[in-house]
Amino acid sequence: MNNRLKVLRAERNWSQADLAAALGVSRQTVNALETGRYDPSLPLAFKIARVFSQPIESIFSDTGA
Amino acid sequence: MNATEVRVSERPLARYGLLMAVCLVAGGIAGGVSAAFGEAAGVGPVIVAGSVGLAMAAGLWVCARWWRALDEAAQEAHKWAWWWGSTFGLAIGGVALFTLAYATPDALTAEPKDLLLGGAGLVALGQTVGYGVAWAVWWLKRR
Repeated sequence: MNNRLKVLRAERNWSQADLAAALGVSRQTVNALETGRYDPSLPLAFKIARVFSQPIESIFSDTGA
Repeated sequence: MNATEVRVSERPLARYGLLMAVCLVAGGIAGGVSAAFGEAAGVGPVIVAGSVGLAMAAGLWVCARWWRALDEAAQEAHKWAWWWGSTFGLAIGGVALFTLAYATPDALTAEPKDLLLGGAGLVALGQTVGYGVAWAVWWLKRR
């Protein structure tokens, strides 16, 4: 699954630690999400969408679609 | 805080220290009780069961609190390590156990207590090492 987390974070000048704090996860988890090597659960995906005030489908895209 | 709002542990060393302190107190109590009443017939196993049970209960309580403080990726890493690392470790420990039993002439004539502790220790060691390796692999693949 691809995502735009890194771009959205850069647009806001947030560090990985800032985003991690907003999401209530570790910085390592944010890094794993950004590199696409870890797919979030639905609750975490919804939380990410709320933090960036965007719909989930504009942040995540299915590579198999 | 609801179930989806996990947070990262901010004081892992404090939690570890708390667990160690509880075990220390449990050990002290068990030692004291054993010194006072250990000579009485049939009391030894009760003391062992009680003190080990107390230590295990304290460990589980600390583990439950620690688990709830982990975020979902950290939990996933531990679940993956629990399954793959422990399974491979069990398999490797089993190979070592049967090889040693076959290669050691007096292995099956040893005291049951020695066989039990040796076998359990070997398998537990394999599972623990496997768990640690698998956990590290999970995170290294996601750096």
